[in-house]
Amino acid sequence: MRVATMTRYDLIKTNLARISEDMIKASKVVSSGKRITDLSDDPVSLTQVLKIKSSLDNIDQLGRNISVGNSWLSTAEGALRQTQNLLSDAKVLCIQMANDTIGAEQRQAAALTIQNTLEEIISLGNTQIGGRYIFSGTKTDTAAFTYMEFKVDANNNVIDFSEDVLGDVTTLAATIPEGNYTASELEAEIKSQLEATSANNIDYTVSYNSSTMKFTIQGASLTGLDILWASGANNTNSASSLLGFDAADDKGALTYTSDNVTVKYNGDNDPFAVKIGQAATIEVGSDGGSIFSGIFATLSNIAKDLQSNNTSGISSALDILETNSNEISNKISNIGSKMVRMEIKENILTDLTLANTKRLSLLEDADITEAIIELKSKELAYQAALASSARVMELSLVDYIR
Amino acid sequence: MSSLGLVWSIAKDALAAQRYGMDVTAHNIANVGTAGYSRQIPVYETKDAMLKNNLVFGRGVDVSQVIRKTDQFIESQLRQQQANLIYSEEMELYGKVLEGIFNESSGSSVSAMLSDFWNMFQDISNNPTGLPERSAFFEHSLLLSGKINSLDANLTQMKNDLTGSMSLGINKINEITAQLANLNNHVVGMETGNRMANDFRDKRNTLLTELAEYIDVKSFEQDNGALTVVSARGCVLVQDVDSYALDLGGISAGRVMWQGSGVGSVDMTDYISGGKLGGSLDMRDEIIEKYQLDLNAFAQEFIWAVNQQHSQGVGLAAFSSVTGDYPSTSAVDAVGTVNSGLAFYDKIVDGSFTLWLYDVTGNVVGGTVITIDADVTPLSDADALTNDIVSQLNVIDANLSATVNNNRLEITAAGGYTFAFSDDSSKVLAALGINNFFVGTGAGDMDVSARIGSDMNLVAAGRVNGDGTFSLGNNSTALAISDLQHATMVISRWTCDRIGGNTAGNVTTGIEDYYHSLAGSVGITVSGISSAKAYNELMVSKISEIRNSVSGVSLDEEMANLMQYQHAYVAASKLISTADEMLQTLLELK
Repeated sequence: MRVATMTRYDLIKTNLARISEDMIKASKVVSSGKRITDLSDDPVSLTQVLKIKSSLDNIDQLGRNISVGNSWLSTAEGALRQTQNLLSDAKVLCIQMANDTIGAEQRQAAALTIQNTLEEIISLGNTQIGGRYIFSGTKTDTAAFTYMEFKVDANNNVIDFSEDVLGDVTTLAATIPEGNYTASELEAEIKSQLEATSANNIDYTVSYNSSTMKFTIQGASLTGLDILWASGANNTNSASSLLGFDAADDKGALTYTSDNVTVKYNGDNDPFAVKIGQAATIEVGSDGGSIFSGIFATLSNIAKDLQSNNTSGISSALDILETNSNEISNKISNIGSKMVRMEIKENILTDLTLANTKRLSLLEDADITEAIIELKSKELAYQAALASSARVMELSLVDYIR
Repeated sequence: MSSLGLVWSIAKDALAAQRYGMDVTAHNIANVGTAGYSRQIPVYETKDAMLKNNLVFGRGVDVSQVIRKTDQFIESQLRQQQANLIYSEEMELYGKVLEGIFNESSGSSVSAMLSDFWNMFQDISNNPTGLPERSAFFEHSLLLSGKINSLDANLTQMKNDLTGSMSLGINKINEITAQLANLNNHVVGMETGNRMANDFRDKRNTLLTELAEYIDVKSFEQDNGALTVVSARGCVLVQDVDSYALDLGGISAGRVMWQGSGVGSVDMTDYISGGKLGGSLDMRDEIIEKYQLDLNAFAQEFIWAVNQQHSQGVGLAAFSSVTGDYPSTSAVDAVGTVNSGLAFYDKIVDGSFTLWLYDVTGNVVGGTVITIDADVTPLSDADALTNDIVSQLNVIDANLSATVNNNRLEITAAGGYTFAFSDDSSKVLAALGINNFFVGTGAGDMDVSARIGSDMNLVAAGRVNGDGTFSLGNNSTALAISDLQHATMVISRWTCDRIGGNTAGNVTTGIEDYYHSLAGSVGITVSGISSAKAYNELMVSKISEIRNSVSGVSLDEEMANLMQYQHAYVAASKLISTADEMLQTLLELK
């Protein structure tokens, strides 16, 4: 075939351009370490790469969720174990105190110890992680248990009441001295203050029911007794909240019982959950009410019995304590099995991360050895093309014509 | 009688002929590098013989014509391939830009940000009351929306750039066709005798090739030598000495219009299939159009899916007042019909939603179920018996009032009361933009609601319980939204054809998968374009070689020809000097 002069030069230009383009591509692969930099380099692999990257992010996130869940669960476990210890201490104490050789003063002292144990368990029930209460269900912003701590101060120390004796009504105000009281102490103090303030020498009975956690105020030999929580002269510092009464007058009877329990469960029954997998969640919080309320009732009763020297009450309380303690054990093992589940999940996620990272590297990363050899071969081809072009371009008939 | 006159005459003609030959060779050598040049060859013919003394004497040589060596078939093949190459080059140029726009290798690509979106909502689900998680999530969502907005804006910008480049191309086309008409004139004029207007024809061919690089053309030569050039839809560009211009105009100012000869303009845009214009149009009206529509469909479904879950949830505080983000241009028409003017009217179904009212202290006053019949219930219609939404809301409580303000639903609670929503089976809350997260209807206007921006507590991570209470630690809505990452939904996928129009098919896929295959599709398209271009380059190179083997100048050949003419010239001049000597001898006879 006849070869025109232009053809020679055109071919040189085209080939050099082509080889240098290949060379640039090869050097791009080596310098970036990645086989895929542009979308068009390998579109099918790219789609898979994107999917894998998304999975890896997801797995990381699930790992974070699991560690949050684990911290909840281990904190809960710690709190429950301590509760169990306290309960077994209480049991030992009860066994001691049930013994007939123990005197009344010792029982009084023991009652205080039980009261302390109760308060300790309440503060365990209010355990927080990062400012959130773990035993309040999903109401994580509110403390699970608020204890009527019977702290009397200038804001809640007055009881306005009126005595009606055969139509003769006298309005009175009884003041409770400031200080911290146990339930039974407060019972006694209120009783004495009411009787001291009484205009008609009335006998009052004030009692605290530890299973219902409510106070009862009762007057005898009266026609009517009104407790003026709202309309009394001292309604701004009435003892209504202290004793669990609503801020409304109680009228028309001789006996009044607190409207509210004095250890309140403020949470809900919906345990807090975290996401550990696609459409899979695990409960890491708890419904504190179902766990602790029984214990509070039991301990309050024991404290009451100790104070009133009721040995038979103390003995029968031992069985209930046993039941409570077993329930706590069940809860602890339940938490334990959840933690095992989380650990298994974590291991699965680690394996998944490894497998996915491997696949990602396979698809996306360049085999450096291969890439460098490719670059070298393209360089060589380029050099050869340059050399041969120079040779060919030199030849011309003009040089040989005399 | 013999005469030396014949020898002189022959020698004289020979000298002239060899000189012509050298002229042609010089012309070839000078034009060795000229694109589109066809080498010329002098055609030598013997002069007619004469009869003398019953003997036939030849009378020498004559150059009858100078012809170009060309093969019309190869020329038109080459023109075709060059046009294809320019088409591919144009496509590849913009294809690379498109690829860069959808680039996925950095951490701020849409896929990475989308994945983070779900993960950050999971962070909120781990700590629903935490403010840092909410702030981070809000900022991230702004970034994601901004990124999708800018993707859409970039695509629109590319389309505008393509239209601009087309405008320049059309100006060039008009220039060339005018020149072609002019050349036609010259060729016809020069070829009235039996002559070939070689250089004009070469020039005309070059111009035709240049024209073919811009737009696909067919050409044929008339009997008088004039070239007729026809383009897409049979629109004539050049005929005899007339040329017809193209213009950019039409409905969207982006259509290629053929002016015609006074009949009115013809829109030939959809039928242009080659050259730079063809490449630009395919890029603009098929490829970029498709990806812009697909991106829009993706954004639309994403917005809807998130809003649908979010509007049924509750944040850390209930509403004291809320205004919808989506307007309904006709409040008296049923919300589920197109006349209502709601952007997502077609998603509304028959169902209901519940509104919970809370008093000053936060206690539940009550929960009311608002029923929606998609084809019947309007937003607000005071006269009708259609049980419109505003009326249903207004009868709930004296402290709660609803109205339509600036085409949007507005619900306000007085006296320190607050309200929240739950269980929306009708999806009307998301369509009205009540308690939604995103605003906007597509990739261009997607954004996070300003309501969320001004109060992060309104990011709805939780859900109202069956009794109307809601806890701050409830994370049901956050979990539901993060589950959307793997949920499948029906999203449109477009096919754009310039002639057939744009059609949407439906695919059922996860939202992330849809975007991943979008990016993959861009990659496949661009990779296909690159392969086509490489193939075209090869074809052009090969056919150029063939064409040059016929019409190209070979310096070696010209050199040899030069020597041949030189020797022949020397020999002819030798004839003259010999004849001269002979005459001298004759004259010296006494």
